[in-house]
Amino acid sequence: MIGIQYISAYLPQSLIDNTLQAKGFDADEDFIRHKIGMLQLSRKADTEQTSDMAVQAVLKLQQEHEVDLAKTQCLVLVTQNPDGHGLPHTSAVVHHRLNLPSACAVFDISLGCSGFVQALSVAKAFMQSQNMRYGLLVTADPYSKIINPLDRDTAMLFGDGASATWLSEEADWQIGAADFGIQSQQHDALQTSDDGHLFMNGRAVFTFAATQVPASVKRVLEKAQLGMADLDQVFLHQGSRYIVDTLAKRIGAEGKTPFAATTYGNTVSSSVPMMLAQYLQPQWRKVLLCGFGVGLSWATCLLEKNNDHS
Amino acid sequence: MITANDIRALIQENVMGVDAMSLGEDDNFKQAGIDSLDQINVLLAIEEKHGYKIPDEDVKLCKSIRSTLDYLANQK
Repeated sequence: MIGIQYISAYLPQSLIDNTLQAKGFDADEDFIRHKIGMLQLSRKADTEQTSDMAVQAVLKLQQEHEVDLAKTQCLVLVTQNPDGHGLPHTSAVVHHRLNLPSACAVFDISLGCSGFVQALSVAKAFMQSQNMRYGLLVTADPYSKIINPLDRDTAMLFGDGASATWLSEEADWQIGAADFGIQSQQHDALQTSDDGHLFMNGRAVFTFAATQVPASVKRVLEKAQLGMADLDQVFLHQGSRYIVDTLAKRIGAEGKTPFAATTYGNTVSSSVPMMLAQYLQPQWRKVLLCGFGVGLSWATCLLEKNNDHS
Repeated sequence: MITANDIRALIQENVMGVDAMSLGEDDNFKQAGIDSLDQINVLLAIEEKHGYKIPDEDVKLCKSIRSTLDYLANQK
């Protein structure tokens, strides 16, 4: 079965001091530290493209795990802020830059914060249907391209980052029960406005997450016939410290939901894989992933340690 | 009908670092340490527990316990 073998994350070097930025928005340090949770926001260089970040993430994967990229049969890139105007698909640029084999299926998936978890299932199903053995799932969605630095609702939240996941049939982590959905009547609660800037209805997004995520987590646990006590860790999309803390309480997972974005911010579809790259422990047996946001969509899935690799 | 103490109980449950039980009915939420995120959370709790629906455009009308009660009384 196709699953997750390795994950690496890439963060650009530049950082915004969020406590300093907050002063311009009349927000105190306590609010930044305990509610937003992000003390720094990572920023790509102005000249850095989405494809550059994706390439860096894959090169880190290659360096950290000695992945043989020549075996890549499938490259999936999750982004809603592609290079240029989105044509060609940014994954094609990444494929070229990495000199991957031409016998390789290459496509973008247009999803936001639920993107990694949804794309895991897409890539797994696609690869298994064609008997592929190795694939790359990359996330790179730099919101700095669309953030209005004067917008209090979004300027203090988002950071730039990318991730690369090596999918293989010899994987340590198998993708288990999952749940996907969308509250599409509020598709405009997170959108790029006509002026090219991100608009977010914070209350709509919060209420959506606080109500839909617990229900989705419950459905996955029921499908897998598991309880919260059976999970080693729950990796929730890092929208803000407040939403992670609120959800932890609502799903009864306090103490199991790390907040990792303090020094880089909400990296959209990269937030869950970046946490996996940092925290996933070999002795764990079961972890839950949940991404939620743009759409307003959610995706929840179980990752289970492959018993053959114990 | 929702009461001031119902709202205090929901604040106590959902907002850290605020002594909700000593919160006066006219105390401004923000000045009492209930920021915009807390306010959204408390309004969600009111919706879920007491069956109200508070549209986004009406959030600004709920600045204190009394103004929230007045708003909700006019809604039903």
